[in-house]
Amino acid sequence: MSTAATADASSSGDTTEGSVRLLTLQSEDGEVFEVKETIATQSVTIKGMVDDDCATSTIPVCNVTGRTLAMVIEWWNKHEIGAVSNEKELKEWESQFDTIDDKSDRDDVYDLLMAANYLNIPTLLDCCTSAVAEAIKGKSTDEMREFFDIKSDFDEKEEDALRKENQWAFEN
Amino acid sequence: MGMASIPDSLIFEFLIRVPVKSLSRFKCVNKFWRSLISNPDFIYTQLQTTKTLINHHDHSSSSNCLIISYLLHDHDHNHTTVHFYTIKDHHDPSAFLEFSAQVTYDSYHFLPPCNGLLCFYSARAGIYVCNPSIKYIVRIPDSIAIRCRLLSCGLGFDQYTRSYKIIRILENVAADHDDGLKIEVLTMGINSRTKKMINGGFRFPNRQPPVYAICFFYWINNNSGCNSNSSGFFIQSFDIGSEKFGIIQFPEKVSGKDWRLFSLEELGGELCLVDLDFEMEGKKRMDLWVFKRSSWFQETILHPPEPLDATRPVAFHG
Repeated sequence: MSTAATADASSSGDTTEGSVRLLTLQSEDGEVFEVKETIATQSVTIKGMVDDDCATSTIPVCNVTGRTLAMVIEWWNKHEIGAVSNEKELKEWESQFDTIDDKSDRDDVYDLLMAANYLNIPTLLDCCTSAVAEAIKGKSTDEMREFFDIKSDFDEKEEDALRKENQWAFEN
Repeated sequence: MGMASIPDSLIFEFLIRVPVKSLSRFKCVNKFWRSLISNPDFIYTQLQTTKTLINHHDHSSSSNCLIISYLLHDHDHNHTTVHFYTIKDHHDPSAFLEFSAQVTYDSYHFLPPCNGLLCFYSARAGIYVCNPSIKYIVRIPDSIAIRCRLLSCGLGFDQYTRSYKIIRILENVAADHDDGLKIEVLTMGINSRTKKMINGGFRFPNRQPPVYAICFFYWINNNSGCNSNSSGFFIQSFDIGSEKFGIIQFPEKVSGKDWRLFSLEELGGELCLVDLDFEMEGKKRMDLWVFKRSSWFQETILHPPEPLDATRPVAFHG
């Protein structure tokens, strides 16, 4: 896994190998990734560490598993400034997040969201939150409670009154 | 695991991206969601996000619309119905009835919209604020000040605290003339409205509602008697954020003119003084004085065919 990510990073045709710094990221479950600094600094958190000269040794990425971190690195590679010229290909790749009703998709998006939130990656965060918004916008209140696993704390009377007040939103 | 343990900040991010119809439904999910969706900061952010999405994506399916209000008086049942119509598509001008609300029987004065909210009022029936996109209307509680009558009000938005504020100008019915006006500032919060009362020293000579233009309310004030000459008149400003008053003098060139032919407007976010006092030129001229970076900029509009008697510019958002 780690070697694949390294290969991916260096095979993108960079000829100025010497001047490109590699950062070492370590996932919560111990997987190690080497990533070009220019790519990893799409994360505001990592950029801050680089700017403060705190990125000299291995950077622990807590709360993010190796599986998720590999997905994040794939995102970075595809979104590196100047790296992707094929807008269509990028859109196609992003479209896999469009439908997240399936449980496993939902878990993937959840993992990516938490990683994007923790590492502060605005583009990825925007993509994932939009995907969730798209998935939830047509849901009923009960479906929303199920989706986010939350319980109603309204009593029956309150909920009836609220539904009445917002009746138009429950009609087709 | 899944979405169950998602942080609140991300819930906020999801919700600002869904349409208002979904939001109105999601208010019923639980108390936290209801308070989140009703929060003025959320309403503002949602509006900005929607605007950005509209600009970047598909214009035809946007919720960008023109809202028209229409009053229907029913004397028999002693109420007035306000209808809000929207025109969503430039190519299809048919108006779509979005929302209707019953209010006290009266004739109302509508203020220009402010960040998606509409405000209308009458001296007798009080002030209503409406968010037509979520079909929500609220009547602002009357002032508790005794022997006071509502003269006018303004609706503005504080960009720093992201809250809507209402300025209410009250007249003491026992006093002989304009002296002793009271001003109340109300902040529309999540569940409560805080109130600040400012007494005395204000006049409100032309009865035009205070104009809101980015962060300030403005109205014409005077410090002497009520002669029609513009000396002694000035523009009173009220900073919505700091809640402090300020004074803007009229441009020098308009001194000596009849202030009754002046009005204040908001044009593209700037304060604008409209001067229609051009008797000598057959009333075929109008001067717009735009207040930018603490100075006045003059623009003259000439309209040779007809007098501009009753013309006032309609405010727009640039």
